[in-house]
Amino acid sequence: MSLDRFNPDLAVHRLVQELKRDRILREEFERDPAAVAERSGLSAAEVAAIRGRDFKALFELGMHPFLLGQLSRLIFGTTEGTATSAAAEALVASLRGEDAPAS
Amino acid sequence: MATLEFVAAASHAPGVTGWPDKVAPATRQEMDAAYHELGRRIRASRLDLLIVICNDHGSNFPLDDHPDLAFVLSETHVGPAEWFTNWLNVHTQYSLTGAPEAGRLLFDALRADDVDLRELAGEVLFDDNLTIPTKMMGLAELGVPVLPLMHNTMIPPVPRERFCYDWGRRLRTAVETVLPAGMRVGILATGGMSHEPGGARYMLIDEEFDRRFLALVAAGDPERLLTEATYEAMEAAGAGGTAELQSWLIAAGAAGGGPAETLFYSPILEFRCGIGLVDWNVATTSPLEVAR
Repeated sequence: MSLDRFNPDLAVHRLVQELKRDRILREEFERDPAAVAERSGLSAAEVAAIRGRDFKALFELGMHPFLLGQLSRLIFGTTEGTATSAAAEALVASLRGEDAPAS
Repeated sequence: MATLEFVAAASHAPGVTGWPDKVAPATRQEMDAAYHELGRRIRASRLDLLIVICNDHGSNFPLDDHPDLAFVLSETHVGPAEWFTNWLNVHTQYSLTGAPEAGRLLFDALRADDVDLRELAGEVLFDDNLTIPTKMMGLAELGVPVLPLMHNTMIPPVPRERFCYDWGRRLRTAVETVLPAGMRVGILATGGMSHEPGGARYMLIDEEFDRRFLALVAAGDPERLLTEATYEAMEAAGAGGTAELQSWLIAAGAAGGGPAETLFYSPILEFRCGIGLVDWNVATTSPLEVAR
């Protein structure tokens, strides 16, 4: 997956960086990702993509895949589990245009 | 003058500490043994300073203002950052003694017009980049002062392969000229091998590329290494992740090009990353050989 689309100015990058540092903001985000995204200065397209767990849309807007992976863990959790990684699998499904899991 | 006594490279991946039980026991045993062996060699080298080249995973700089390289000048380095503790399965934070004085000397010596080199301090977020070598090689227990060097390998534009190799040579020269006489110094690059974190090929590893890269490093032919192991080739083997191997190129430059000894390689699908460890065994390499 190429980095040709990468847009360093995309507001969602700053939000992911803040979420990695701010536990309270992270807890709010876990409860209502779209609400936190809306008040963090993200564009309507970015907010809609977060609301819909549409990682492919965020990639096409210019989000860096590495931070996209971190966003998927912020939404789906960081526990790897015993056999699969829900966050990674949801991300790859979205990038392939398959239905993203509901939560 | 200070001397370079150790130069090695090792992959970092969250699964190494986060979910090692998913890996076949024999592979895990061999991998653990290789990490432990590098820890043993660090101890045997009786280092006064270990420079750890960590790629920054988009945590410590704005993505629109990312330096090429940055020395972390904190008195201590605490990790992993809180959000990464579950992911890495490291719930007790470690604390490494820093090396701010050595970092400032190297920063002053290495400032140049062709590199965006910065100093970094304050609350630096460390994830698997510093945590995997620390936990797997026992760096906290060794007590050797650590100077992290954050390296941009993933936020475009990144420093290119030939620059990285050449900068490694500059780093060695700086180590040998500005650090206190008698200081024993090591360099450990962390990152790679092939992986595509967050991309459509997240679950895939390019084993052919990894084995070719290891063969090039082992051959000790820098020109061939830099001709074949380009940034584009790394990106083709896994975008946004495989180019962490550019940190290995800094180490290779500091080591004088090799050859390096491969301690371990396995394409560990459960980690979504090729895992490799190499040692340039520099203790027997004279400064004059590197200068040529």
